[in-house]
Amino acid sequence: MAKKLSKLQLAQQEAEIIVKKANAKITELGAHGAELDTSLDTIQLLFNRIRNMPEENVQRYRNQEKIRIKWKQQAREIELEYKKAEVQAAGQGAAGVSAGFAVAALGPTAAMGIATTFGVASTGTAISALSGAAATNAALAWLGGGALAAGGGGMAAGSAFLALAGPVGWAIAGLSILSSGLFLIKTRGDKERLENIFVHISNRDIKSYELAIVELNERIKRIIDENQILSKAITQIETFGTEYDRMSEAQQYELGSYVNLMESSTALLVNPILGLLPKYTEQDYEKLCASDADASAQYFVHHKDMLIALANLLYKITLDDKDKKLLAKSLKKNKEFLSTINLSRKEFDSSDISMVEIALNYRYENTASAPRAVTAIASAKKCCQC
Amino acid sequence: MYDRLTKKDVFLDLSIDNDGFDFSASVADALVQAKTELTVLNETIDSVRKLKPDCDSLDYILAASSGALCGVIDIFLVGKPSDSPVGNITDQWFSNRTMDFAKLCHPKHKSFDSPESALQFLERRFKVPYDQTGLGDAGKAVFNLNAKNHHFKSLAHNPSLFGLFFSILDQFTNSSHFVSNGQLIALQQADEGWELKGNNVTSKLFCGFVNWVGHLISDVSGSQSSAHSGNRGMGIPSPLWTWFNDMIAIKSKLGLSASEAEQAINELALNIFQQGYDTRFQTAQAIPVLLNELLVRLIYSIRRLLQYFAETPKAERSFKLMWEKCEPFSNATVKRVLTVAHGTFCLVDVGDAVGRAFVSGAGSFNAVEFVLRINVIGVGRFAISLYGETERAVSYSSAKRESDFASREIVIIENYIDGLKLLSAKYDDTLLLTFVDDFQKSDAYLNAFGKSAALAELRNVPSNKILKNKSEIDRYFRGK
Repeated sequence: MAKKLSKLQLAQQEAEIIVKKANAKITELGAHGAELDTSLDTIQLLFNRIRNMPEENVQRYRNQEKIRIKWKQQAREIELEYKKAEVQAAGQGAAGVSAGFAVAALGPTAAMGIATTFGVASTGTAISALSGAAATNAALAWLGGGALAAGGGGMAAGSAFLALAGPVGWAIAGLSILSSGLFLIKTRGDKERLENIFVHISNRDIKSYELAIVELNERIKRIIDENQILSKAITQIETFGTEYDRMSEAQQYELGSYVNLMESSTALLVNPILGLLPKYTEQDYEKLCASDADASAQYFVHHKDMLIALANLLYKITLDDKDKKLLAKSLKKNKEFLSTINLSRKEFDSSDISMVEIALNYRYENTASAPRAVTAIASAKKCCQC
Repeated sequence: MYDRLTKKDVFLDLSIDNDGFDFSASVADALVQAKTELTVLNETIDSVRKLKPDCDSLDYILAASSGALCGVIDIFLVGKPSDSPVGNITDQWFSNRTMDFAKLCHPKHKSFDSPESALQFLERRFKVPYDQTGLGDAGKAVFNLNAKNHHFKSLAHNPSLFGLFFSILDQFTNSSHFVSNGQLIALQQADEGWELKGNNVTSKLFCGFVNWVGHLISDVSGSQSSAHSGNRGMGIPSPLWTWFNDMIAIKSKLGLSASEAEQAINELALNIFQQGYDTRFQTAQAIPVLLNELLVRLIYSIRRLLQYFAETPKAERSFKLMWEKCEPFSNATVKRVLTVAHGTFCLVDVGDAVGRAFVSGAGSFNAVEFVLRINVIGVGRFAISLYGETERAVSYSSAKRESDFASREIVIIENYIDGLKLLSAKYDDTLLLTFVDDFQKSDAYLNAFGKSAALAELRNVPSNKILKNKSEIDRYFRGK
């Protein structure tokens, strides 16, 4: 008889399935994105012809195009970098386990594709805008492989906290490391309590992926539709001729509209996917440090890595005092986790989790909530309709 | 035609719901699903509320008062068979129902003016082979059967499924089964003139069943002779006290002898039956228990009704909501106050029974007096309440864990719903994308251009890359 899976095992299993689904959607998006890219290239060429651009300007715009959408090529480059890093890291212990796990679960190209297209580096820069080792490090960090990147790819010291900042890192790798701490808890009630915390974390990540899939579906639909609109626009623009000043005012406005459309369609390929963004970024951390002038500010300054890592882990996870103590006890016994956040066993206890809670509450209170953001967008739209 | 269609499409696109969002299909589907998940989680939280009583001190005080009041009623008005004002009422009630039944069974629906004539008619009408009274038959000599105990000793006179079984058996085999002195005794050829009506097994079974019911009703208010002499008579035993008769019969069939304890309890049950503790008295005992039950539920409802009118604004009032707040049936609060009320009732009743048992025993405990006085229905009802309380306490601990889990999941789902709402706004661009069609109209190009800029803004295109007016278009294409 098959062994009954625990709630946590079921949640982790579901997380892996949903990650694969998200990955398949991203691949689908990539295929449609390549078609859109061709249309965008064509329309940009037409614009350049009308603009009668000097040669150096043409070159500048070509460079921008390269940055804009070369995710496949870049993913391949990053994959090579990753393999190099993997060879160098071999034999260095368990430091690279999380990245290895994440990348193995997804497949290198797909994993890198996700990171390259939608990942955001700790600085807030889109990974797609980076290149070379910086892109590799950022992609691996986003996937949950910061420790490996630090060892093999030359990532700056102190950035290893990103190991646990990426969503894939949590759902697949990070959580498997943390849940290994369950074996260290002896009481059945405590074990169940701790397991529930990890189930909530898994379920939150599952919801993030569901959100990502919903958004990817919307993107794919729009990419298909806008590719058709762009094709019609190309035909239309060709009828205008190449002399901008000879065009009617309506035609000039139409051209301007197509420039805006080109930029809007490009955004479909490069804008981050909401569900795949880190829950707590370095920017959130900096806002927190800037806001707090009392004694806790000093604490935040000295515990950056731990704070960001745990804030990502515990985002929207409700804990009572007993949960905090138990989680701290479990994390304290987890050498792998402690080394990732640059803390020793003695330095870490449940008060750290309380501080993370303060940081998260500040984040909840001070980040524009969805309804507020929605209202802002809705008012912008109403203005446009006027 | 094309223009008309476009206008219609635009009209549909503008159909914004109450929240101000126009969801595209997949976001809308996800949102519906998420809201369903939220409902399920909220139901889980509500289910634990149903297991947790929400009583205040006044609830407890009122429940205890009701229990005490009904306990006093039980002591003074129910008491014991020989001294029971409520018992007299139930006796009369049973007597009247017996006469009603006789009228119903009479071929001409004759009204009987006295219980005696009604019982005479019913005894003839529902004759059975197991009705030996010990008067003039061998029963009296062999196993001390007499008119005062034969309803108790005869298994077929037991108003239970067990009694039905022996009644059918006795009618089919013309026998009579008794339990006496811890032994099962069977009389063969119990009635020489006996014949069970019916042409086949099914019709005989039906006749047997009707005979059993009819005969029980003819016996419930005593016999024709007791009615003639103006006595209360011996009714049929309470099924609660014939358990050990049944046990002894089963054990005897299995070749086992009854234990001393079983014999002693059986003896006690026979003793109290002979003192008038029958179905009629048992019914009398149920009255204060029922009164207690009704009072507590009524008080509970009235209190909640007053709270409902005090706390619910007029605009929000509805019968459904009122019923949810006041219904006194399926919630842990009303069950808790019932436990308190029945507990208090039992406390008063048992206290009285113990006291009187010692008084009548002149200092030593008189078990018969105690059993006659104790309200078995009240004790049984309290036991059911206690069982429910234990069951709810056990369910509560596991439901509480599930509820805590659900309340934490709600935070996650709400965050997800916020994300979906954000996506809904972010991808609400159908109207903006109609700018391409607007260029087909002669004078709509300015509006169309505005839509394209708004689309770029919605997609978070950096501001310096968006062309917002004519001069920016000129600058872009003239390269200046």
